[in-house]
Amino acid sequence: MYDEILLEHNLHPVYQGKMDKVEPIKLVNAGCGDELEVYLKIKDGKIEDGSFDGNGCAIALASADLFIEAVTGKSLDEVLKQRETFNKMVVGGASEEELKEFGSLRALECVSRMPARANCAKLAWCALDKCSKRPGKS
Amino acid sequence: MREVYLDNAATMIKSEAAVQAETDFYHEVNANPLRGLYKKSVQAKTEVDACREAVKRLVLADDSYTVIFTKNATEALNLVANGLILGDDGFGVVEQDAKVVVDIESHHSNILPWMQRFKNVVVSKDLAQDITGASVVSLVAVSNVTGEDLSGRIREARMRLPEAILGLDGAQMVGHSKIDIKALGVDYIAFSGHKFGAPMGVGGLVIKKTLAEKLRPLCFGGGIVDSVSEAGEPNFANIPERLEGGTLPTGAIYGLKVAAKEALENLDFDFSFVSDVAQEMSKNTGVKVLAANDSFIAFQVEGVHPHDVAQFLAEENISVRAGWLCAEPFLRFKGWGPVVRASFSRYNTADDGERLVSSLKKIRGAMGIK
Repeated sequence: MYDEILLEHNLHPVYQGKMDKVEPIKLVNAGCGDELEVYLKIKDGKIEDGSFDGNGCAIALASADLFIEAVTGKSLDEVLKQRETFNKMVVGGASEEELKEFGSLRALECVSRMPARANCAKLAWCALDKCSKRPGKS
Repeated sequence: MREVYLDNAATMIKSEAAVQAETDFYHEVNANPLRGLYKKSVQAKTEVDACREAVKRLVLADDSYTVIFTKNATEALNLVANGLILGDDGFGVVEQDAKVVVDIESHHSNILPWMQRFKNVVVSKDLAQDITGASVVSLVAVSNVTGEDLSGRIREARMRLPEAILGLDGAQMVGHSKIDIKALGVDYIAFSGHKFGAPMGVGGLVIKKTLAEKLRPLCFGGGIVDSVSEAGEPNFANIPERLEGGTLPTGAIYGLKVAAKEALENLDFDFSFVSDVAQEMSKNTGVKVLAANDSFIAFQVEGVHPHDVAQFLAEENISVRAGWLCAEPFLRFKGWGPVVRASFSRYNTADDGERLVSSLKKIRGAMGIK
C-alpha cells in the first residue's frame, strides 16, 4: 500500500521533537485529524535546522519527517520550488524529469493514487506559507 | 475481489426498488408536483403526499404530525433552528437568547445549526444537570459513532420539561429502529432518506403540526405562498408546502416512499452477526473495539492511524469510514480521537464480517509493525 521508505519514516522518524527557542508553526488537517507542529530555524532566508511534532496518519507523519530532511540546508526560494514539484507529484502531475533529483521524497509518490490523502502529504509543507512571509526570522 | 461495503451509516446501500421508483418517475411521470392541473402533476402531488404518510408510519406518527421535506437531516435541523427564533416577521416560538441544549454525542449537524442561530447553546456532557431551564432540547437519537440508542433520554427530558420544544436528530434511527414519536414525547424528528435506502436528496422532519405552523421557512420562493402582491406582502400557503420552497426532488421522494415501506418491513432485522464480528475483531492483536451496537462497530488498531486502517481496507476492497465522523466533540470527550467505523446494513452478511476480520489480521504487518 505505502512505500517502504514512507513506512520507515512513519515508524522511526528522524526529525520528530520540539526545538527550543523556535516558534512552532501549528498545522491541522481536519480530514484525518492530523495535528502537526513544525519548527524551522531560518537565517538569512535559509533553513538551517528543523523538526516536527504531533499526531497524525502515516502519510502526514512520514511526509513531515521527509520534509524536514529535504528542506534543511536549503534556501526558502529553493524549497518553495521544491514544494511546487512535490504538490504536483502527490496528485500524479510531476514529470520524471522534475522528479529525478527528488530522492526520498519520492516515497510520497504513492499518494497520487489516493486523492483523499494528498492533503496529509502536503500538510508539513504548509509551514512554508507561514514562514516564507517572514524571511530571515527564526 | 468483490467490494464489501461497510459504510452504511454514511449512506446505506440502496434498495433496487427505490432506485427503480425514482427512475420510473422521470420516465413515466416527470411532472412538477405543485400546481399543475393536468393528470401527471396531480399524480406527482398525490404520490408526494403518500410518501409523507409512509414516513409517518415509520415513527408511528398520527395526524397531529406532518412531514416536511428537505434535502436531508442537516437541512431539516437548520430549518428548525432558524425557524424557531421569534422575529418581527411573525414566525418563531422562542427568543434568540433562550437556552438550547444539545448533547455531546451529537453529530455536527445537531450542534452547528443551533450555535449559528442561538446565543445560549449548551453542548451537554450531563443532560440531567444541563436541561434545567432549557427552552429547546435537541438530542441525537442514535450515535453515528457507536450506534448506541440514546433516544430514551428525550423521554426523560419531556418529563422534566413539559413545555419545552424537544426534538431528535434521527438520521441513524429513522428507518432502522422502531420509534413511537408520541411515546418519546418529541415535537420533531429529523431524518435522511438515503440513510435507509432511499435515493440521496430527500430527508426532512416529522413534526407536530402545531409547531410547524409557527416555523419560519428556510427558503422563500415558489410554492410557499398562495398569493403575493407587488408590494411584497405574501399570503403564505399552509404547511407543509409553506416550508418547502421550490420544486421538490420528486424522483427521490418516489424512491423514499418505497424505501420507507421496505424499512418498515425490516425494522426487526437481526444484526446479531455484527456483534460476532466485533468479538472476532477483538481477538486480533492490536484491534481495540471501542463500541459495538446493533449494526455499528467503532474501533482502532494499535499503532496505526484510523485513516491508514481505512486506506489499507480500501486496498482490500472493504469500504469503511475513519476520522472524526462529524462528531469531533464526542470523540474528544471520550478521549478516543479519530476512529474507524464499520457500519452494516441488512444487505451485508456474516461473510462480509469475516472479510473485515481477516483483513484486519494483516494490517499491522503491512504497516511494518512487528
